[in-house]
Amino acid sequence: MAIPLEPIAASPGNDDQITIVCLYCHKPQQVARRAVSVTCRHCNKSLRLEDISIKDYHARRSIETCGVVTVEKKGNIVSDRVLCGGMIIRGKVKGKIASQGPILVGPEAEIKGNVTAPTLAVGAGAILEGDYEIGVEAKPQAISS
Amino acid sequence: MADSSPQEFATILGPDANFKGELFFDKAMRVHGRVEGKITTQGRLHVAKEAKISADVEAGSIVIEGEIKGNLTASDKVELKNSAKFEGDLRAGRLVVEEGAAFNGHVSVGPEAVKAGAPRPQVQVSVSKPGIAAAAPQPARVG
Repeated sequence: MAIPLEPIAASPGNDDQITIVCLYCHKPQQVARRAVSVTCRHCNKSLRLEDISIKDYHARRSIETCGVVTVEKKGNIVSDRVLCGGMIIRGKVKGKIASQGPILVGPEAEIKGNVTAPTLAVGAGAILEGDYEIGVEAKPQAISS
Repeated sequence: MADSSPQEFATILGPDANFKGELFFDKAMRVHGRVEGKITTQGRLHVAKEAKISADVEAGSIVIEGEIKGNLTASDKVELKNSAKFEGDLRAGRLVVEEGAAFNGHVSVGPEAVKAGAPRPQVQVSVSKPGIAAAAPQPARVG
């Protein structure tokens, strides 16, 4: 699957800045490209910007980043919620997923939980179980804790 | 439109056709028109871009380019092309979703989902105490 994954868009004309969308209030804002975390100008919530790569078992209450969460083949997430800018799943995920960007699901991936995303690409052979909201009408929304 | 030739499909429902009821076929069918009701086959169902289906579908494999509302069960594979719009529950052995497809509903995909075969498990209430179990709803007594 060669689908471009660009949840964090570079703003035109300024290479040092990128535009992100807040995971909680969904309002866009410009931040420094090199920033690792920022505070949302609109809702004052802390936002992590870096990409996360999961290579082994991770049990966490929540995983939240404006970047891309990649679950490698041996990665296994057990979490109440995953809020992210995009997701690539080659391993296992158990929990609610709300992504602002595309979710790419590899052929050996396993997802158990509800998924909300603008687009989804699933490879044949993946195991999915849950309620899915995919497409233009499905607005990724912050899951209330 | 898919690159499959018309010869592949023994049955084709044209774009000006409107079908209501239960539809059975053996091999493969391509739908360009509208279908309302139920579709059952062990073969292949292809829902073309301009097609609109409001039906429960049980098939071997299903390829969707158009719009479909209803519950889908495929023993083999469901393919949602980038123009597909699907609303309902989906149960299939394999699922392929192209980026751009829109869908909303419960998904069960994998070998286990097909083995189960039956619709989503409903919540069952079992009462273990015999006294309570025997207490069937009684008609209201007045006076």
